[in-house]
Amino acid sequence: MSQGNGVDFKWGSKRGVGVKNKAVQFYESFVYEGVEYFVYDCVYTYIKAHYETCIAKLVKIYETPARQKMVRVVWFLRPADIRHFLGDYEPRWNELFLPSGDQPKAVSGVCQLESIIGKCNVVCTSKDKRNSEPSEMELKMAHYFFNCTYDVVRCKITDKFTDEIGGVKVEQFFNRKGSKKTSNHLNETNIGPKIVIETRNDPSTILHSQVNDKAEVRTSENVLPKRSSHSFPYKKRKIEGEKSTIGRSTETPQEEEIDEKLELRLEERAKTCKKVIDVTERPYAVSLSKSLLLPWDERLQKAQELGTLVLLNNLDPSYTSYEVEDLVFHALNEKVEARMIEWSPITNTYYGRALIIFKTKDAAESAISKLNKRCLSLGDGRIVSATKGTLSKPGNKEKFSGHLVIEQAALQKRRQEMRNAVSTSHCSQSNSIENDMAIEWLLHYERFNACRNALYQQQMTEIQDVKSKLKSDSIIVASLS
Amino acid sequence: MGSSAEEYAAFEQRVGRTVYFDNLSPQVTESVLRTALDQFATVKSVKFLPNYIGPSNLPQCALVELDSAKKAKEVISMIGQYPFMMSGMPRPVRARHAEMEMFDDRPRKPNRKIKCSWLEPSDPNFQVAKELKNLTRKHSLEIQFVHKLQLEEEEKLAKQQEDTLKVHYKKFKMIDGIMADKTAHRLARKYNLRITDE
Repeated sequence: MSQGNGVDFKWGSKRGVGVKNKAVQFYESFVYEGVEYFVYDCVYTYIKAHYETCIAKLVKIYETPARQKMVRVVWFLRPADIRHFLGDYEPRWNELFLPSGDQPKAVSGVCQLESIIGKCNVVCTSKDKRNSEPSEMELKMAHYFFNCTYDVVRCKITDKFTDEIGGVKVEQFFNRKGSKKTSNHLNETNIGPKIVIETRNDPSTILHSQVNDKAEVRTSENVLPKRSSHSFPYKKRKIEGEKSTIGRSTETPQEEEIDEKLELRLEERAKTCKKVIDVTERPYAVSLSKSLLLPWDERLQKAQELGTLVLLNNLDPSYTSYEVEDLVFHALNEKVEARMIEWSPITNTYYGRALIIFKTKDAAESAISKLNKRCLSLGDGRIVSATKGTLSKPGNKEKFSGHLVIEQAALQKRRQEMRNAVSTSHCSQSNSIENDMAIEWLLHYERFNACRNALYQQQMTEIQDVKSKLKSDSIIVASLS
Repeated sequence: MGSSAEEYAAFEQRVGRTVYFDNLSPQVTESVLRTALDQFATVKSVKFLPNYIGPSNLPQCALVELDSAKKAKEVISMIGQYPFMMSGMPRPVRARHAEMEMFDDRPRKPNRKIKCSWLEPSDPNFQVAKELKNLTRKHSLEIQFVHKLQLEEEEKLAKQQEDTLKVHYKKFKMIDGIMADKTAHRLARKYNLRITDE
């Protein structure tokens, strides 16, 4: 983390100091790598190890007492980010969505100023009367446009704009009329002086040095979201039995509590008490991979090449892909893409499996090792297991064992029959050779059905046997609904 | 995802009228399936299930949505009674009722809460959890083995049938031959039998 000694950086005019912490200095603008940025500019941000940039609107620019340059931003959503909720809406390729919802923390976030890589021209094409309609020229110049908001609480796309987005007046998101300067309103409620980064870093160095000790890894990871600099607030996550704010230092502005919290964390580490994580929906799915535009099959192939593919086993087969994404998000703190493998009669139906694409190879590998070293237990006593995902190679399209072809049919007539039989689908007559052979196949199917059923039955007994050893007082009561 | 109860109920109905086909040849396409089932019911949609991690030469599987649950039942019982061939013989296809978990685009169950927790080595259940994990691994290997076995058996059966067919084919050719070179007629005359040739 560079500490503000970059040559290509200059602060603009000051705006004020933090309400709670006078050491936090707010600014109107800054010059970074030769570009001048103002509050309410739209920018591209890039976070290390991600495939894709994010587009965001600068909402606040400030420097922490530790001289870290931070920005508070509202992230625009790409259609792919909310692909599960698009419904009938067909977004254009250069369309964005403005997040909305009455939880300011769910739509805005903080990130380091250095993650900004350039300006982005975003125009609003909404017919809302507070919005000045963009000229044709402006539309041509625009990289992206937005017309709708996406309610992160209700997961709905609408063309209505609420008065405030993430604590910022909605007018700031509409096109500016003329060259009107941005109004200088400081929203009292939302200026939390945030020196979070500093508090996060300190303990992380302590904790990461103890990574070998399994008991402590969990705590360090729970308390300190590793990717916190760009993490969205996942406030819905509840940690029962402990102060629910502990894991949430990312978004808690009260730096007065820091020492106290640190102690709490240490205490917590000593105890290593068990926590039950309620897997709820993420505030909204933010997937940053550019490859999202590719069809899923190609993405899978690519993920396999990149080593970002993981296979999870022993999930509840009734989970949906989306729920698995939630689960990984809450348990491993990673935003991933998941796809449940469809249940098929040729596998044991007790086991639900899912293919997961992680953002980076490191994330995938650390997830596998975490799941192998420790045990992630699901509600009904399932323990998730993870392996590297390997896709099967496409099979031979031409040959299908069991379909016979006679190279030269003897009789012209017979050949004709054969050809018809091959090209059409039919029920076979009971007086033909074909029927006899078909019966042999059915017998074969049945034999393997029986064989599988026997195997699954045996597997289930084995599972039950082991499960019965679980101490029921400490395992979470099965929440089978 | 605000999956409402109605959406879920609609999905349940869709599952009810869907038939799951397996043992399909890789040459079977949507249009083949549609034409094949056209005679029994109206096909609303066809979806082939991808095989991402299974053995690569597994037969294809598909979900076929028909116009009603009744029709789905009829088709399944018909295919259960008579061997039904698609795009080749003699290996018949199989049909069964679809299950919810066969749909990758299923909506989430309303009001379901998922909970998870990390078990620590100090946890009394940790060893048991480890054991469960190993069991999962073992089971998936077992399943893989059965797959392999089945594919081998299928190979064998196909080979055997091919041989049988060749023998039959030879017989037909022979009969054909003696009919063609009038051997049959000569023999008939010799034994004083009547022969009717069409």
